[in-house]
Amino acid sequence: MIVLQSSDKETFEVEEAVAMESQTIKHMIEDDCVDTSIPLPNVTSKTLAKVIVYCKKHVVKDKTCDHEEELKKFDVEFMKGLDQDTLFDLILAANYLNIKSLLDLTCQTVADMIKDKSPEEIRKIFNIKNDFTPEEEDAVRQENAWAFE
Amino acid sequence: MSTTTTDEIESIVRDLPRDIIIDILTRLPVRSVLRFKSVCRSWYVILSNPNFTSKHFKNRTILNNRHEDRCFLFTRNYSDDDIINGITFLSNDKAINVPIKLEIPFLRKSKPLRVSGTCNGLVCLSILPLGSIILLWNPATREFKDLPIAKIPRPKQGPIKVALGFGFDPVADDYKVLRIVYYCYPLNQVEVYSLRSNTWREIKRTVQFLIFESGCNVYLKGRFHWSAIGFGTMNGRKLIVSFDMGDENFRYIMPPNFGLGDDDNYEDVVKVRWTSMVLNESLAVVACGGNGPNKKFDVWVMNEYGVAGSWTKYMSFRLNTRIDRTLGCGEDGKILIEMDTSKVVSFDTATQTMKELGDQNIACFSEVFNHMESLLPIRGGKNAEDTNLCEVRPDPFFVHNHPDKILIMDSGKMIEELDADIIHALHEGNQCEDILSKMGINQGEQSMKIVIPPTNILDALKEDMTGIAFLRSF
Repeated sequence: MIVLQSSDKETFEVEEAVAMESQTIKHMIEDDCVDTSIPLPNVTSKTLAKVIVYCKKHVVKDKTCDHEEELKKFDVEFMKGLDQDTLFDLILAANYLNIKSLLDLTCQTVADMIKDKSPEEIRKIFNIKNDFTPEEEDAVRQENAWAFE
Repeated sequence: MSTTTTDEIESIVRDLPRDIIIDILTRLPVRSVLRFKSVCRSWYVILSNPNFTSKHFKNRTILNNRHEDRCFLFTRNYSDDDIINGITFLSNDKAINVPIKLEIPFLRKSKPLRVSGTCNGLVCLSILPLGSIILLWNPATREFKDLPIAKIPRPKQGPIKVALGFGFDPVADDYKVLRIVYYCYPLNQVEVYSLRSNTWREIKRTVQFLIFESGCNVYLKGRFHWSAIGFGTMNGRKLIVSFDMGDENFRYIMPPNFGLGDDDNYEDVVKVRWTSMVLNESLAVVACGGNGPNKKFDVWVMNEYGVAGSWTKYMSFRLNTRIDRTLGCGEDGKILIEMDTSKVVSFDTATQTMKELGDQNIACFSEVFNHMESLLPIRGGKNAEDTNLCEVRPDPFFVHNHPDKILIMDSGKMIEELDADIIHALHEGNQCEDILSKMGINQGEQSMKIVIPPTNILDALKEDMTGIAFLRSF
């Protein structure tokens, strides 16, 4: 069993296999830098709890069709229950802890949120200034005008 | 989360590191990426970058949500005003017309471009009827590549028909175009173009089949599949011919015994129209028999690929209105069907329900392909704006030189599309043929066009219709 410590000093005890879903933690364990517990100063307890739930489910390496279906359903439900702040924290945690499947899932969720937005809405969302001249912007739009239909 | 407002999304993405934002962008459908190029200059550069596009392609292939990038693809009917025509992407209910903005001077004088194949987002275009110009084109990136002229020795006679196939060989990591050139029976040539080497080479293969289509829209297990009729040792047999992109060999699959008529009866064999397609990842055949209101469609599926005994009849259906042709099958088991009024319907094989999609203006010479949009670049590809398009020249061997060859070929195509029976008549029952061939021998010009049938032909036609035999004289 491994002990993980969140930024707000809460501790979580998890099985080694579950913790090793995170490549970051895996390297720490393998490089023997681990004492009694692993400190994770970049992850709050709220987020870490969620990450652990995810890893526990995904640690089972069952390649059957049924299990794949079950995992997909779990992922959908898992993402549904999140508010914006938690989603943001989860993305950063998955990135820091290097859990590829969680990063894929969270980033894909965000991609799905923005895919139907217009360029104007995208600028607002990402706080980007439009630095095209009107002629340039028109030319770019014309290149693939059919994508706007 | 599907009804998140822009404010909510804003709070999620606003402070994310740049790398993660780019990662999110590689997960977008192709059309979203194209729209977001106009967000700002740096996004335009990022989204056009080859690193981005290759990561994008990987993500869209690995993650199983490519359905947004999938659609039916076909050539649109062209009007005289826009000589260089366009293609249509059809998905769910939405049809999007995409112009082919390649102002190739040679095309102004000739027939339009049509789709001959699609693979990984790249579309293979060729000119009717013999493909004297063949292009690879990505509608999303607007990049194109014209195929070079093949340096293959040719016979003296001209080609009669050309069939093309376009696909990807994963072992060689190469895109290839297959071309089967038919001359007068039994002469033919088979050649393969490789994008990597940008050359054509001839391969010696036995071709004992005549392919009906000009392109190939059934691509399964790394092989093209065409419906064909055998000749030579396979004389008269219905065949599904496959060509493997990897080992470049032809193989035969016998379609099932349709049972829509007596398969040994030549007339019934001719009357059954059938097309192959991919249904739920298996090879399938839709056979249509009967006429008018009795027209019935049987859908057969080959449950185990290549195993002859595994053909099973999946279902049958009849539709109330007259059906012209079955066009193809989508990812979700929906078959696209063209009605007699050129309206298109989508028939769901699972629920047996039909959905009207309106008049899609599909060109009569066009097959329907399963297209997957992508941002993949083409090796050696060019942009129309930066290229001298006068340099895109046709292969003169495939440019018909007989002034009436097109007329003759068009007539052949017209006959195929009439709901008519083609019956073999003996010479002794075909006075029309006798009169016309005598006229042909006696005329001076290479070809003669008769617009109004001469009266002696009309009389002969009446007699032929009533089955009156005559003795041939020479």
